[in-house]
Amino acid sequence: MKLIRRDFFRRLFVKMAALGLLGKTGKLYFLAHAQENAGELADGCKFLNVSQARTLEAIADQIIPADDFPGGKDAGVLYFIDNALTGWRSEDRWDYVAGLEGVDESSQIMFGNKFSDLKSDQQIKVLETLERGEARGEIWRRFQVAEGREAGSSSQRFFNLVVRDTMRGYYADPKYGGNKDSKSWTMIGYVGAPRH
Amino acid sequence: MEQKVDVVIVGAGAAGGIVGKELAEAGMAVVQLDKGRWFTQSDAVHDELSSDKNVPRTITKLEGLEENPRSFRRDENSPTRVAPIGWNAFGVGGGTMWYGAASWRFHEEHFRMRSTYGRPEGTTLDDWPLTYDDLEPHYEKAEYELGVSGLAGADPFGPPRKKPYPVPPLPTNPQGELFAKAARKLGLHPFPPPFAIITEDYQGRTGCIRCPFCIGYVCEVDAKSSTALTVIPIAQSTGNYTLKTKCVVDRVVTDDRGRVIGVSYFDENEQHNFQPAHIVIISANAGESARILLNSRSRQWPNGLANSSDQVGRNLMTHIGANSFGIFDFDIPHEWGPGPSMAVNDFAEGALGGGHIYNFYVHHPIRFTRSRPPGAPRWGKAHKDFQRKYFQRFMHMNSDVADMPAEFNRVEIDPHLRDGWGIPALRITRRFLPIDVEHSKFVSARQREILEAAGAIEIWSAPAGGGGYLGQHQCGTCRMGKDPKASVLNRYCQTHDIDNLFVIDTSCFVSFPGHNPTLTAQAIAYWSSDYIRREWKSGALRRA
Repeated sequence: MKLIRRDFFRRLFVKMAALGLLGKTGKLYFLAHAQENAGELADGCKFLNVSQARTLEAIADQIIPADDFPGGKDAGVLYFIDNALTGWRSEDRWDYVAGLEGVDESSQIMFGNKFSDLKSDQQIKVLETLERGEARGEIWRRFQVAEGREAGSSSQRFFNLVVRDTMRGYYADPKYGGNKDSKSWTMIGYVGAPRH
Repeated sequence: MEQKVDVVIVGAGAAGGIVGKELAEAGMAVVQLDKGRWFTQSDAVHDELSSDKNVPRTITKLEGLEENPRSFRRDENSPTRVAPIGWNAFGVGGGTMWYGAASWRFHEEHFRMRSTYGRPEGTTLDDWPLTYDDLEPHYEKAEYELGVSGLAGADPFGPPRKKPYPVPPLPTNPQGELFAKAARKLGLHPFPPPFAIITEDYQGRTGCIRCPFCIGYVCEVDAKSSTALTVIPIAQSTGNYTLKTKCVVDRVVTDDRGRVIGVSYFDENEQHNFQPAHIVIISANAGESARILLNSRSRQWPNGLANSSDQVGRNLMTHIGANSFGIFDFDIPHEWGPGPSMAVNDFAEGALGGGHIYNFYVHHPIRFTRSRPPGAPRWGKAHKDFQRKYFQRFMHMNSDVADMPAEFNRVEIDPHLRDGWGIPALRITRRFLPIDVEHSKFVSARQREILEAAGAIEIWSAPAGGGGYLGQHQCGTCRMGKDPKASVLNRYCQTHDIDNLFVIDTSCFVSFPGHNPTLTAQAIAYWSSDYIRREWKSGALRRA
């Protein structure tokens, strides 16, 4: 009896999140459109499909480009984010489904191609429109956020999310799936783990 | 129904843990209820992403956050936002298992701010009904029973003390050395700040190994002097003390004459129970303690328990931070924890607003990705270059700046929101006053001077007045005072309205100087426990 009651409130809380009371747009998209993520799973992923993975890796490689140390793609940011979406940040998964589709749509409108097929300077231009909250496309338009919630348009909010997660995937402990061989830690001379 | 005990304490945190031990040692039958569980060294997951403190809302170890929503708004006309509870650590020891452990004594003048400086318009600034001298022996007892490290006499602005610290201060790290040099150049008085972190073997625990994961992490060697590692085990050894974890108190129950007779709570199995007791003590933190009182309305107490003054939940203070940052053209390795190793108190007294300044806790790479001067790119090649170039050449100055109490800054019961147990949740209305922002700007200007004297090549400050929501450093919601019409508690944290009901935590604070609150809440816990022991012995609290 008591357990049922507690479950009820837990569900209510999740519903509130879905209704945007907790500032989540992707869930609206999920409720309205997608039941589950379609398409062939990307290699090594548990949630993101091949097309989403390609777009996300290209974005991660612009957020943290390769130099003599790896970029976002080679550091395994994709696997970090896929892990998060199937684990401790599962509430973000529909933001990613909608957002990655939105990035490809904006790329088509601006340069006539999917994001991963654009030239580097074109990719940067697309991301800059996201960052300013001015990305074009039906998806971004449909998922404008309720007033009084987190500031910014839907494209800007997705951009903030993917920047945050790319930084985490690149600089977090490798045990979460990113930061391959701790190379980012070597790059900045970070001690990482406590000495014993 | 459980067996009636002498005292039930709600919350086994920084202050409650001390009260439990003091009363159990005096032979009273004590039941202590805590919402959380025990945390141990196995919870000491030491990577940046594991810490909710450093990377808000990630892989939190503070269980149940999602089941503990609160609503927030700036003022009555602003939109309300619902969010999980934030940086409140539920569990045995409360915040003391996770905090940065800064353990300051407040200064003499901090207890008489109104008579020293007057009451600024729009505030409820007042004197405390107790003095520094009243608390001095209890500060000392807290430092010795818990284990606080520091260097007596090193701070010329520090309040008088009778005994040295029980253990020596943490050694200075390279940032501390640079900080001290710069501060002296400016005529300031740097000294090693006090922490509830032992630096050598003390009472069966071993000293700090100076790992870089301190604030926001459970200590892997138990060097952090949490109440869960110090006083609570002593309470457990008395034989007349029971600690029940994962118990969520929803209300304090009163009899038909309006006196309290116990608390009702949901236990680990979600069963609703009643714990009868002669005395009820709430030590659940300044948000939750007020919430329990306000949720305990009854026919005799229609506005909530102990709230005839309408002051329960008001005068919420949280500190207004001041943070400045500098980058350098030389390395200043910052990997020896906890991080702050030199402080100045030159701006912590002698003015209405102010606070200590120290270099901050060891920074970690993810958090550092957001540490950028205004206008600097947040991504791309330039962002990565900055990360590479300045991770080892960065210093963060931090202060907890005094904020003023005001009636409109308050917690109350949200009319719509309930938590995972169905208990009405808090709505927080909070905005800083212009005078708070002024004080924060004053202190960040001093921080920038220190960074400049240290040789920083670029310096910036965080905007004044960000944050301020409940989560840490919350206090003032059940203020102490002499006048029962204008305050909730007397000088012993006993409610004016009901003699067998106490609130012992930071809720009682009357004003909030620019120092971390914990040690003062702990000194007050000893002081109030002393009173309760005396009153219990005399029979005064045993009626009915």
